[in-house]
Amino acid sequence: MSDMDNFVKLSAALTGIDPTKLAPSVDPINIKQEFFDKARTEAGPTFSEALTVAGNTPANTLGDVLLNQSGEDLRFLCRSIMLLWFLGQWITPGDLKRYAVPDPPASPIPSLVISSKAYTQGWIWKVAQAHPMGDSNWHFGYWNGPPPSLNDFIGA
Amino acid sequence: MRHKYLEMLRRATVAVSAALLSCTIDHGAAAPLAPQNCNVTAPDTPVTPALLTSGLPCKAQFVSPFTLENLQHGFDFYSWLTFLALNSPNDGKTVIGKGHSVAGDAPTIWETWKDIDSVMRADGSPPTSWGSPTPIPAVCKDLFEPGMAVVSMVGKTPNVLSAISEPFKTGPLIDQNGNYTRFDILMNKTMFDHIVANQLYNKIGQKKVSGVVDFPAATVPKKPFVSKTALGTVGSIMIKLAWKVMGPGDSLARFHTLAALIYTKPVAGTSMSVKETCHKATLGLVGMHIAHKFDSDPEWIWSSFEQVDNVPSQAEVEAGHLNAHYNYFNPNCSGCKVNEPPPRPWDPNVQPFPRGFRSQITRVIPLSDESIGMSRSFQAILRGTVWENYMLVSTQWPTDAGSKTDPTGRPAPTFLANTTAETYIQGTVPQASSNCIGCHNNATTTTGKFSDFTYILENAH
Repeated sequence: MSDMDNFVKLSAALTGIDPTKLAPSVDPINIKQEFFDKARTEAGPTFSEALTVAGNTPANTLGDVLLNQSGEDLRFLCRSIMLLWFLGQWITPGDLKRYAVPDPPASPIPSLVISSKAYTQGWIWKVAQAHPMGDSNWHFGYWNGPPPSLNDFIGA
Repeated sequence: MRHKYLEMLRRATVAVSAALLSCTIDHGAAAPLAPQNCNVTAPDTPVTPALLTSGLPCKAQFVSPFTLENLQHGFDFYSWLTFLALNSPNDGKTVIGKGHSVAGDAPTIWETWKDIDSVMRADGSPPTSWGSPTPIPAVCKDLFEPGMAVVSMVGKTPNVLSAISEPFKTGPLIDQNGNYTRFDILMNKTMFDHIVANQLYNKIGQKKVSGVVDFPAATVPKKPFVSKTALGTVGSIMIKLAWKVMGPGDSLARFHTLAALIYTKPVAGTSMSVKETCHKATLGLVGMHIAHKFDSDPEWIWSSFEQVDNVPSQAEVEAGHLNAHYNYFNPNCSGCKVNEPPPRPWDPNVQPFPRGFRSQITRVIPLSDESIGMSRSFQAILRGTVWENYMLVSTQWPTDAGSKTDPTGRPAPTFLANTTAETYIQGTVPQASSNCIGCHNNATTTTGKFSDFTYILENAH
């Protein structure tokens, strides 16, 4: 498996979203590459370690192994990657660690929406069966009816 | 997902059949197929002169593996076959490029189609029957000669001269001779018949629509690669054309041309007024959009072509690799603002455009190597004709056709702009830059109901 395959496997385990939804076989948007590049740039060696774990671990136990059995560095990196997929924002593992205390700083945790594409492709919108503010492909009047099912959105 | 995988499986089956049976395809017909019929050409068919008479494709075909690149190749191949078929002479027997006008030019098949103004009539009356002459505005009647077209639009939106309706930065496009570029929207008989049968040509009829607007899609022959005579049925097709007035520096041998009456509609009640006028001109085709609806692609397939002299790319400008002449770019103007609409007022009766303004346009999204290569192949079989001077910009298609969560079907490429029609909205900004399916996904009838990816219906009175 390629590094990208392992990244998609890891991401599916962390988000609970069907891997074919995260990375369609025919994918003109290709947001996975942008997220992969961001994680690799920000977390080089730790990211490589996470990919290795993903390659060596069955999918059904991968989430537990990454978050609970692989140490603090991998755990907080995985949380950063989860947030990247859902929010399109990069929040550093270090900041996540600083805020993961009983009395976290009062100021909001620093974050960065890494691109307009990352914003529109954030999975939080789909999990909410909604769409990004300012970026809807649904037809005029869609608000008058129920949204598609959660399964249609995330394949869970 | 099931829909997508079934579709991929079906495409795979067709492609394998094509590979096995491609030798049975009949490319030897002397005349183009009648415009209401379509067929299927194997995606791996060599680009030879035999394709000039291959007819209108019912849909795109693909070779495995079904990667984004291979699928794009199949759609681009389909686009060129469609371009050849629709631009074939409308006498039904002459091969494209073998007409009697300059460089083999001849009136095309689509020149017999209905234009938007003759279908969505100002008084809401039913359009005249298919094949009947286009109604001529009163101001043009004394100038009209048989065979002439009437072209009126000056912007991508019909009411572009209205100060209150200017989506994005849409504005007129001014060529290097200072003339306004003109536009036209046409539809084929399938689409026309559906509009008439459902009274979609006026507001009263549109109010009666209880279900969804659903234009007929192309059907594919059941055994496309087995029977030489197997024909499918053409789906709804709409085309948008961009024309420049032929003038100094323009060679008739490099354009498909049209003898036309240029009709300028009166505009009143806005910050400025425009007089109703009409005059004769020879127009050269500079841009062409083709949208065709397939049963497997309800988002339609969008093909876009341009005349090769239109504009340089941004990269060519930066590298200084420029031609001596472009339709919409002056290589000797270093201070011209690029991709900016002309200053107001916009009055197409005042030409050349005042104060020497000429549009300085560059292509923002580079053509893909795949698109360039395919255009070269088809230009080679059109050598010596006006049609060798046209190129495919790209083909936009839905990668997840019929998606339950995205009515646009995740189009590929995500953005597609023709420099003559989407001049000022080129780029890659979501919901702002040109994206055929994404934009037409917002089209509605006059009652606000989704109009099946066409803006034609919102022009009802």
